[in-house]
Amino acid sequence: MSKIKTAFQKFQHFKTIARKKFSNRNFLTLLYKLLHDALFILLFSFTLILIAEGLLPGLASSHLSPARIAIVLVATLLGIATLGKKLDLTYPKIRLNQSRLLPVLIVVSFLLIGNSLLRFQLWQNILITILTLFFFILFYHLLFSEKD
Amino acid sequence: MINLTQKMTLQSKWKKIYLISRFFLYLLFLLAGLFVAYQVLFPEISLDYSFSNTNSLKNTLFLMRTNTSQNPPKNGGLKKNETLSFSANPLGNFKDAKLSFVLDKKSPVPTQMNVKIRKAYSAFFFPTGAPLGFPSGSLLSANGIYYIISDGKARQFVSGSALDQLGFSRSSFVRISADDLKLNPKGDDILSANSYPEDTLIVVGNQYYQFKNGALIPFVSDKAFLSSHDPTQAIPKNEDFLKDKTISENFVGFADGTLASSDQSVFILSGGQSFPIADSTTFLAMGFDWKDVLPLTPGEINAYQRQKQFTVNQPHPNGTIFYDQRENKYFMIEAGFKRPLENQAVIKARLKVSPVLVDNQSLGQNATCQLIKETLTFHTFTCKLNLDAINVFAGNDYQFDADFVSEAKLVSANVVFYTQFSQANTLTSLSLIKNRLQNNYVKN
Repeated sequence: MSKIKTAFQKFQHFKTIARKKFSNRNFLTLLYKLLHDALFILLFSFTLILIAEGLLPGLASSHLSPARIAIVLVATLLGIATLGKKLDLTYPKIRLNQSRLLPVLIVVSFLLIGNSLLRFQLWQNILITILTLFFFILFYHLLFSEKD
Repeated sequence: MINLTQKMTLQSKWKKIYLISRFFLYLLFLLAGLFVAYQVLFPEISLDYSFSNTNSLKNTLFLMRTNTSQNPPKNGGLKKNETLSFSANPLGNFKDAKLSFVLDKKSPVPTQMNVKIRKAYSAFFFPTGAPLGFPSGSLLSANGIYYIISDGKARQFVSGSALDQLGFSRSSFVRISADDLKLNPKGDDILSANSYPEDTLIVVGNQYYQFKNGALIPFVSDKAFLSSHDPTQAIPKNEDFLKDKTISENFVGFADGTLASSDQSVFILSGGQSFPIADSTTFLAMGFDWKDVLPLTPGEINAYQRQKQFTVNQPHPNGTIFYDQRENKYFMIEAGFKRPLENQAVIKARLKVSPVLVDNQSLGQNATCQLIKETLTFHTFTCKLNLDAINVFAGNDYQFDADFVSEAKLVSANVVFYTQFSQANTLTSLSLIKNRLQNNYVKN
């Protein structure tokens, strides 16, 4: 009985410390920054896996599930969003056409889509890839463009 | 390092904590990356079998059977002194294997379980059958007597005039000894020239035929004929010969076990069926040689019934010839048996492509271990096998034999194959990756 009581007391103590920590702005900022680092690492790993899978299907996915990385990615994003809300952070709206990432994204997407269509004739491959990218960008604008 | 939250500042104490935490986060990522790279270069292959769902596609251990039945034990139940056998076909260069059996909760605890593992090709584990004779259609002469192999039997031409009237040329008969002929049972003598013996080979122009049941069955192409016979064995005839003959709608294909290519696929042809080989790794793992692959026309390949992919988990089909270099012995796979080719004349008549190299010693040499209960588990029995003693043998099939001295009821079996951390294996893995890249991106 006394063991249960001690364990309960320990749990209460831990709860108080955790509550204190989570009301400490510095601690939350630290977590927020670390989660961003984790997000960067996960995105980088995910990109590497996508490229490796594109080149040699099964090379990475037979050892490391991309679905698991995707789940951890979503969880990290949720963590960032929750902490951002707690820290009262506001985010400037990023316009895709102003982002420095856009050319990189287009080039990587072009290569990945082109690679998946390798068995097609070269002209068919380029045509389908360009059309696919065009529709992707069109969809993006339709979904995320500011309403008039 | 990229900092996505540059604008967010921390007090100096917290900044220090952040930098240390960040260092460990990146270190963790680096270690995870190294772990994945290790798994890619030195893979662990895990293969499973569920005794409650023996037809499951998830089962990756094959040919589960006992010494009393060719079927898997019902609900995993094994009787006293029964041997459970199965095959595992992982691709790679493995150092060790760990075998685990999970027993049913209600299963009696087995007193002793010995495991034996051997390595060869799956079909090479087939039982040895009777020695194989000459193929049907062969023309042979022994001690001045002429024979034709008809329906597998040696039929003697009693009358020299019948031989000449039917159009056989004496020079096309292959000389053999009387002993060589004993491999084919003796058939009825050929007394007259009234009709052609079964399996007689005939050529009209470039088209080859085989005489069967009163009709001429055309070969699908001259390449198909040459894959199983020498051109001298066919009687040359002109077009008039066909006028009063029935030509069958069926066809005679390539010799069983022929490797063929069409478009970008490679097939094994056997028994009127074509088996597309899964990939180049499977092709090489089965001991085939690229130079034996015959390019086929669409007409030739379409004459075959296309089957599911041929993978490393399947035994070599009928017609495959194995060659044991050490003992200089040849075997041909036929209907679940490996049949020895015991004399040079038969070998010459049958061997048209490179044989698959094997070693007869692989059937006797084995690695052993004794299954013991795994710590911290209730019903799992495991043992580890060192594969060094059997790794020298050619083949992709690991044959397990587990002897159960007492009764047991199994739920599942699992085998994990471990690749050794070594420079040679690193180079092998890198070479495999390079080959796969070449296959995908370099046009031949």
